[in-house]
Amino acid sequence: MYIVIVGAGKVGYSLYSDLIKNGHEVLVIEKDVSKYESLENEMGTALLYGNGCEVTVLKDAGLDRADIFVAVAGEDEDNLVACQLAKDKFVVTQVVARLNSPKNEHIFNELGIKCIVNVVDLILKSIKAQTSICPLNSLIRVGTKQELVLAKVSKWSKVVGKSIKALSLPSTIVVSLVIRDGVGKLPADDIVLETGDEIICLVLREDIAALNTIFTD
Amino acid sequence: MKIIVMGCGSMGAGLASALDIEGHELTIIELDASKLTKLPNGFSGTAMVGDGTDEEVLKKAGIEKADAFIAASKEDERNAMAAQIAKKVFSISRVVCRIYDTQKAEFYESLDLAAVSPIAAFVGSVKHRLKV
Repeated sequence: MYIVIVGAGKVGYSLYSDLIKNGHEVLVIEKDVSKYESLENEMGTALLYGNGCEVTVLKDAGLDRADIFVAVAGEDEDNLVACQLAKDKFVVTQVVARLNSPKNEHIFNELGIKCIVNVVDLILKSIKAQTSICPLNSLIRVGTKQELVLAKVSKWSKVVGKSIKALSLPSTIVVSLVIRDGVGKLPADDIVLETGDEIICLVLREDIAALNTIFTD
Repeated sequence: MKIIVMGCGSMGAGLASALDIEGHELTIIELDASKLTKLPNGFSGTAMVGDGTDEEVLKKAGIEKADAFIAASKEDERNAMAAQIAKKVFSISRVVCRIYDTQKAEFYESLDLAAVSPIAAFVGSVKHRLKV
């Protein structure tokens, strides 16, 4: 596949290295001359000096035949414009934007850029998942309104010794799977929760805080 | 009209000042506080320091009650983003966006955003004067 990346920072460069190892054709566009010069020798023709938000540069990059376009620059406005050009002018089917400021997520969505990597959000989730700050971990987004989350039952959790039915969850929270001793089971209403259980639930994003409270220690 | 201008460079300040004299209610947003000195002494509008691509800053500038928004900073990408936020998120019908790069300006015009390229405008003006 032919993949064009805007931004040769740490993310862009790492993505490039990974993709060429897997045999893809990759071109990285960088507008900062010092970054460009530091990578020029190593990357050769896989690095293009220029502004990835300009039509002529994108044309030179061969965007007409690109299969995937990824904008991972440090500024959200650059990633937005580059992705809009790639998607609507060059009709690249798969366009991915790095989002630096989480509050811009809905703006990107409203402006037609739906495939977003929310960097700050990912770091936050990773910190939460590796500590006991929060019993819930988001696994995957489902559509625009729902998420699949994993809730861990710690020994201090209020839900230990209760059945799922007794939790009186609202109908918008669907318990989908109970994982006990490493084995997933469909959740029977009368299953009594134990320390160490993990529960996968489908929830509306607005209900995540409420679910968190239910599982809080 | 209540008009918000993003960017207080020579163009933004000149534009805000001209519209202010005509009696419009102006708010100008600029990232760099030192640039607000470009506004003339008699400017009767509001000048604020902030990022015009930030929704909260736009709300503070009163975008929910604005009639028009002009993105006039020196950076095409910031202008394109701010103008689209004004148009699509805050439903401002009169939005004008300064886009230097002529091809990018054409592209945003095709997305139904009024994009003015100072280069294209200058070229047009020169051709008109030279009658060619």
